[in-house]
Amino acid sequence: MENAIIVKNLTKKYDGFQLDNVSFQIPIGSIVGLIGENGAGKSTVIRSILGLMPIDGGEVKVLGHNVKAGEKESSWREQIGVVFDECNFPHGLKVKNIQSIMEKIYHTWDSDKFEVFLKRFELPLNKKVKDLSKGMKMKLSIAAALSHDSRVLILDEATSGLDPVVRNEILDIFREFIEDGAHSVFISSHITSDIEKISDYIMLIHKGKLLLTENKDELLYNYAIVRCTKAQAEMIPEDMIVGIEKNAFETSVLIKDKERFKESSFYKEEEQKGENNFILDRASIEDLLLYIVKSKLS
Amino acid sequence: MKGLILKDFYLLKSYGKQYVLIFGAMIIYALFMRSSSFAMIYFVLMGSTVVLSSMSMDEAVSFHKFALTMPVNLSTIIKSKYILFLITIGIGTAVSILMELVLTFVSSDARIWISFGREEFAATVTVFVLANAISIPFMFKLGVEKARYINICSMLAVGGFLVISATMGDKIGLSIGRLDEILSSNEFVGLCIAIGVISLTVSYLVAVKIAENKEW
Repeated sequence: MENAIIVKNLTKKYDGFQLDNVSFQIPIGSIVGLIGENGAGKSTVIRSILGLMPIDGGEVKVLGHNVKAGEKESSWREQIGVVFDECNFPHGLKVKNIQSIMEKIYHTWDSDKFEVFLKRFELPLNKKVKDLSKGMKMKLSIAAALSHDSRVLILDEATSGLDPVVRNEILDIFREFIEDGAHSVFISSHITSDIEKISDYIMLIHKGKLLLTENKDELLYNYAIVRCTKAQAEMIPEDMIVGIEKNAFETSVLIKDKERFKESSFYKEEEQKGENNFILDRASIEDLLLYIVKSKLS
Repeated sequence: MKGLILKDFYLLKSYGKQYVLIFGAMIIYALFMRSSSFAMIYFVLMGSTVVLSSMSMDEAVSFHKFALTMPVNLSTIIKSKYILFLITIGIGTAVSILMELVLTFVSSDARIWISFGREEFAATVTVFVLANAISIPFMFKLGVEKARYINICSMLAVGGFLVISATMGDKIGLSIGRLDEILSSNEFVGLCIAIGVISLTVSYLVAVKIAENKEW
């Protein structure tokens, strides 16, 4: 499978923070979600991919183009659409002005497509950006990002601050965007439910380190939360444990191989005794984030 | 480039009524005072500060970061601001000259008008050009608000230097005020244009260097 984005050993150092040898690929035709808590490095990864800042090491390729900060070559950006966490169009512009501006910036700007999006999103042409609601502003940004020859959509916290109805509507558009198998979406968010809904692959970043890159379905199938007693938790092999949460009443363990866990001798023994108090629950993406981050912190 | 400048003009248009109002007020002021000098300075000043306002509106929504995700490179973004500056200071200068011409034409006695000479007006425009040549790179380095202060300080410093040189320098025979003895009016205007072109070119190169090292 070809990749839309390739990141190899990406390193960026700041005082008190380092993006540490981050490597991953975004396959064409897929939606990849990047999750992590605030300050984990999601935006630094995205800004590096877009060449918005110099990097200290590594390599970034977008649609085969070697990205470098401050480079003169910019035509490759014709094929990417970007939406940040806020609408970046100056507030004094009217929606119809954006149409005229963008068609002078993008050679591949498709006015008809933009108008279709405006109608679909019910965005009034004569309204100024400052008079639009937050949801409408994001829809306007998305409409602009999709109305040229964009093959990759890069979204940095684009759904944060939006109500569930608008978020769902926007997620539907991302799904439609990749339907033909030729487009890709790379979305970062700390709203894990959004990522869980649409992503094919999930990446988890924590303190500048990429801790997890997996197919979402496999992730949801393989990972599970085991609720048990403290003594039972001690029976689980360490290599199976991703994170543990203990309180006075129960111990919860995030395990990374549900089937192997079910096949393990201690689980079967408990079952044979008829005293199996292991409760296996589905682990959501949010659970993964919480358990992994918590285990790293402890 | 065209798209970026068009964006600035759309934003400028949204302040159109205010500009017309100020223009009208300045004309009335000039008629009332029978002096076009202040209004002339004001129009050029207005033209020269449009770039600051435009940068401020861009900065408020991180537009430059966004623009760098489009098929536009950094030097084009910076160049568009310098072109905007040239256009707007050009408009300010043209409006000033036009106002001067119209007012002296409609006035029954043009001689009682207190107005600028060519050299004084050229020197005034050059002060604004120099002040912006100094402050525009700072907009990319420190942000618009700090650059606004640098702009005012630069205007005062350059203007003050010229005034002091012109008035005090006479005494020691090294005055800018005595330039007319060695330069004709046309040569003086030419010198002002040359200073403007050189300062803006250097300023643009410095702004590009600053922006290249910036994280957007």
